[in-house]
Amino acid sequence: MLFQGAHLNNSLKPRLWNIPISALSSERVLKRWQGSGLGFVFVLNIVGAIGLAMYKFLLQRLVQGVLVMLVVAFVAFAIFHFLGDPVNNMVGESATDADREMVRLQLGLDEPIVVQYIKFVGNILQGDFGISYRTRTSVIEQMAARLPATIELSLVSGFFSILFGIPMGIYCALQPKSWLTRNFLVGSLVGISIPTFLSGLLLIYLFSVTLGWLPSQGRGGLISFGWWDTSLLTLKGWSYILMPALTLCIYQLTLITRMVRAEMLEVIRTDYIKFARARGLSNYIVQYRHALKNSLVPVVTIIGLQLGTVVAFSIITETVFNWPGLGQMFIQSIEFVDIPVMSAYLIFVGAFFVVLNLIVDLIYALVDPRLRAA
Amino acid sequence: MEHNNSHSQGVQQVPQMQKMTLIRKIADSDIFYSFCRSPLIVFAAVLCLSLVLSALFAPWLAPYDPFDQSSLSLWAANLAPLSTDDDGFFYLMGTDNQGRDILSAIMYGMRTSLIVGLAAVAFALVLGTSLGLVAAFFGGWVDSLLMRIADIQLSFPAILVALLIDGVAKAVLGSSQMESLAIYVLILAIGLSEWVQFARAVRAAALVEQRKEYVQAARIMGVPVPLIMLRHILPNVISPILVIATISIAVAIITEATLSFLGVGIPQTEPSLGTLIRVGGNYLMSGEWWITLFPGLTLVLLVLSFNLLGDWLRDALNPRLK
Amino acid sequence: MSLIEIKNLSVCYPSRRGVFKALQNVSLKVEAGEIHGLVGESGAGKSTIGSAIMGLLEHPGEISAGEINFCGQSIGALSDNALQQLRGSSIGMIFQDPLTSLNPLMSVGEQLIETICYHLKLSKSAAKDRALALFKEVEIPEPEVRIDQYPHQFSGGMRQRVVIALALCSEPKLLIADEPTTALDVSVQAQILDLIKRLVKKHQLGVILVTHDMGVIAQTTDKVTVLFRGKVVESGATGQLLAAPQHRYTQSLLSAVPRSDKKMSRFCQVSWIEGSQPLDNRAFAKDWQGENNLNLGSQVPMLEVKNLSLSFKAKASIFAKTPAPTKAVDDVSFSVNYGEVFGIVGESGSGKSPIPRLIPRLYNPDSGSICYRGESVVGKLPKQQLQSFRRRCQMIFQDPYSSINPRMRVRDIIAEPILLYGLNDRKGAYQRVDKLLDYLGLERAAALKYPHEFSGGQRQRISIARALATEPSLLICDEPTSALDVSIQAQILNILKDLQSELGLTMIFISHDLPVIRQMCDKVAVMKAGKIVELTESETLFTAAQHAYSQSLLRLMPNMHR
Repeated sequence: MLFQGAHLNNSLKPRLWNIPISALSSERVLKRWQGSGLGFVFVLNIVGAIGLAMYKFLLQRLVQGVLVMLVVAFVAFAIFHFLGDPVNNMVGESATDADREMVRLQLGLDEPIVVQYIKFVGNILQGDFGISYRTRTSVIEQMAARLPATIELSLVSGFFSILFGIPMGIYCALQPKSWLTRNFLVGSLVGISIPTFLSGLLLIYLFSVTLGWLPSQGRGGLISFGWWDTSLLTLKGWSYILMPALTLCIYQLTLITRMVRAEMLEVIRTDYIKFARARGLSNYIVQYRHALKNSLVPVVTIIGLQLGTVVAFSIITETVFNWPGLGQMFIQSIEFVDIPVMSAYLIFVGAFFVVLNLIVDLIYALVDPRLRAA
Repeated sequence: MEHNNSHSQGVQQVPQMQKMTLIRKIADSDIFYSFCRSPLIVFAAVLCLSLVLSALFAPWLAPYDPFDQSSLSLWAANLAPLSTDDDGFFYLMGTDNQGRDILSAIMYGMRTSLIVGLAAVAFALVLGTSLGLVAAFFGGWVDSLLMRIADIQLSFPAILVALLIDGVAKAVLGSSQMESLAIYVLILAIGLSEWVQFARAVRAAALVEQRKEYVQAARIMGVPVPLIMLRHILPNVISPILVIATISIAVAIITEATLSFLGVGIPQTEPSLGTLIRVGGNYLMSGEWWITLFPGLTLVLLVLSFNLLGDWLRDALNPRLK
Repeated sequence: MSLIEIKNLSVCYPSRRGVFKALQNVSLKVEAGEIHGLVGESGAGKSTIGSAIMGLLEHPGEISAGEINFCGQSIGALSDNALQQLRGSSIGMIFQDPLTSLNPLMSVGEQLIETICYHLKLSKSAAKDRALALFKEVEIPEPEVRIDQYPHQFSGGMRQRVVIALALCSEPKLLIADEPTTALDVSVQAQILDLIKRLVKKHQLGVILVTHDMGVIAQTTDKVTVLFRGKVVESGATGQLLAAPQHRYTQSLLSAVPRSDKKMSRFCQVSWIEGSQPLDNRAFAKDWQGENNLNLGSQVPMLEVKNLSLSFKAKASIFAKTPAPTKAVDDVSFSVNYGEVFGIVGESGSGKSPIPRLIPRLYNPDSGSICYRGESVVGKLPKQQLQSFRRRCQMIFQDPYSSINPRMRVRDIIAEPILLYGLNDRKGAYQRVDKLLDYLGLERAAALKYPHEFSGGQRQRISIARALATEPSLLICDEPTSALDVSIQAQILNILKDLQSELGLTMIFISHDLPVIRQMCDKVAVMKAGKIVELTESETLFTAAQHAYSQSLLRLMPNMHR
């Protein structure tokens, strides 16, 4: 921008060749959007040059997802295989060597590592995650029982943080000078600075200990649909989920607000918004039909990934509120070095992220004409 | 943008600019100007500095020594703030379940939090920056491999990665050894969970720099690759590193506190802000709020001051916002 | 009544270091059906006028005095809403870069229809008809197909046509074109300018054309206003002003524009813009340890390039068919004799940019040979040989802002190659830096400063000093002045000419600018799509070009002296 009028743009084009193409196409989708106008040019040139059709793009993403899952499975396998002695954990202290050998053979620990890994992956695909060292029950059953609690908690908090986060972010970007924006921004920094466990504790003190309005621990008011227990259909159920969800929500909300604002400011600075204004389009059209729509694409990406972190933060929330979900199970497994549960949880989180990423990519491909066409 | 260009030229032509001492140069810089213009940021800096100093000089400033077992008495346990015990000792913020003065414990606790936070970030910074530079400069499969690893790790939130590393360490070391090595394991775990941010930012910035002609000039001259990275590229990617480092300190402190709270970080015998809150959480139900609230408040203020500074730094160093 | 009349307009940008006056007392008038050129160098404030008319000044800019009357109505008196109505409906604007001016997520048709519906209150289908008509008007082939396409499916020139169509949506009376062709190649530029001229005639549009290019002014505009540091220095009918400029600034500016009609020995300098001492440091030339004079009688050319090819491969993909590699340089051969200036000219993508990077081995060629003084310098070389070749072959880059490291002192920038090749110790290197600074007309105090304290022209001198530090014999100049203003360009080109004659340097000079090529080069290669289409003596090219492509380039170049 410094040398206005120069033939710069023109002669920059050939120089783009110097960048390895892998540098860009390998970047996560959302990174593509964070460049300015020049970043656009890259994407245009490169996507155009490769001629990537949408289904190819998605197929590629799918394969990448499978690869990621294989790596995650390998990490889980490595933890399982190399940490602690599985045999020691399976048999009691008083077991004889013969007993040990039997268990070893049963577990297939005498086979080559690669075979063991393949078997491990095969077992996972069949839903067999082994037996928990601590509870001596099947890990998959344990997880299935706890899954609804975590999913419901994540959904409720994710829903509310999106519901409030996006409008707040938009407001902050469009009214950068208003006092409300300044309060939102400082407030969001405070929100990021309060650790989840602390806000949980403070909520408990306020609503359970002092006011006595809400229960502080556990999950209640359940209605069962087959193996799925839901707490969202009764008032009592909501009284249990409210505080954990709010705790989770605070952090997500602030993050989403800030990211939406940043993305939108980025778009507002672009030339095509300037040109739309110069065409005399009304503020409404410029801000909502152009700026908002274009910033929503990266926002969807970010929110998708953000929802993933809800799962991670639910570990903390579940511990504070004694919420019987997967996170609590994971913390317990770490405390007791319960390796099958640890690796199962790892695979669950990995799969969750991969699926989330795929959904995000799908939305992205549907919205962006550069992927849709070609 | 045209006016910007000529304007800055106009400014440079002021002759006094050349004869400025370092201090005056700093005082005259845009960063310092934007710093002074925002009372909130000045407040954050003062807050941050005073918290760090009170942690640093805790042995001299703290009213009691929380490690001194002899001074602890269960008679003075769980005293409310502003109370005096039977021996006439005054406790501004009350005492915890073992009769420790909360204020002193906070000051010592902050030391642990800050040490872990700073060391973890330093570790992540060195690791991430070097890997980011390597990925940007060599490209090809090195770049792909590093960025794939980063992508995969990024799909797992930092806290989860830190938890996993901690869990793995526990399995490897056994719980007795874990006790004595806890702080190092924690630094390692948090550092390893944060390096990706640095690596990605440095790589992105280095790719931009690398396209610039001064790097091409150095390559044409035949400057060795390590020298190009250290002397040419690194100094030009300092600002994103600085911003991320500031914000990472905040994240690292939170992560440490969270891990300690979950009982997998600093052992309970040593005060850190997280363990103090963990202890307090058990007494919250019976209405002893001060054991949780004061360490919690300190933690929030400490993290907030770093976040405020990082947020301001990001805007102040962003050339596009000028 | 004029279409638009600006009276004593002043625009200022207050900042903490005082108020910067971007425009001072600017007055101008534009009638319907005329193209009014605004010309000036960077910092002249020419773009600010357009933004001020549109009410789109960037924060914290503000109009501090004067008035703008559009069709007899004062724009300053309008409310924000009325001003917004005026934008687009009566005044249209197009920007420099067509790549970034269009919303990438909306088809061009949607963007057109949206604007038409908003301003003309038409139904969707009527708006679409109008959009198609506009596409025909701006000569986009197959409008029915193209209208549903997205911006990324258009080439640069076509995209600028779409931008023009968008600006014309609501039949404005005034069009402000801010450097509309600067980002385009010469041949596309000519088409776009023709289009604007035709539209003006047909619709009786008034156009304010902002540009830095005197050639564009000469060929397109009816009237011209010359700006310098926010003030109008001269204004008048284009032909008259160019033929007989009155003001000293205009005179020197015009004389500094490289001529395409004849070769001159030196460029006229716009001396009072940026103070510079002429180079007359004979002692420096005497000290010069170059190798050039040694081989004057030799039959071997200094540099011989044979059948050079380079292609850039797209990343292999598992699913997509790996696309055929782009041939950036395709079977190129030429040789450069001692003391010669060899020019390479071409449009973007012609392959002229990779060549200067192939010779000093920034890229490795796919095939072909490069011989320096009869010895091959491609392939695996002993380190010593490569270093000694690199020492003798230095390069000057296009962009003075990015070609020197902003975090190093000038002294260290220039001394780096000296120390790298072990030509001197640190103290000796710094002494040499002082001599180089003297020679290039920079003060010695510059050695301790950082690059941001210098202007573009001064930075380019630093860049030249770095290239000269190792006493090279071959200097590769990659578009050394295309990012600079005309007046600065003249200075830098003069320096290069002096270097060539005083130090006997051999040069390879890459440019897209034909007049500059004519002034600088002895021999020229014209490149298109990676191949050399014509290689001849420079004077022959300009008087009797053989290849059709060279002829069309010569015909299309904007020319002030025609």
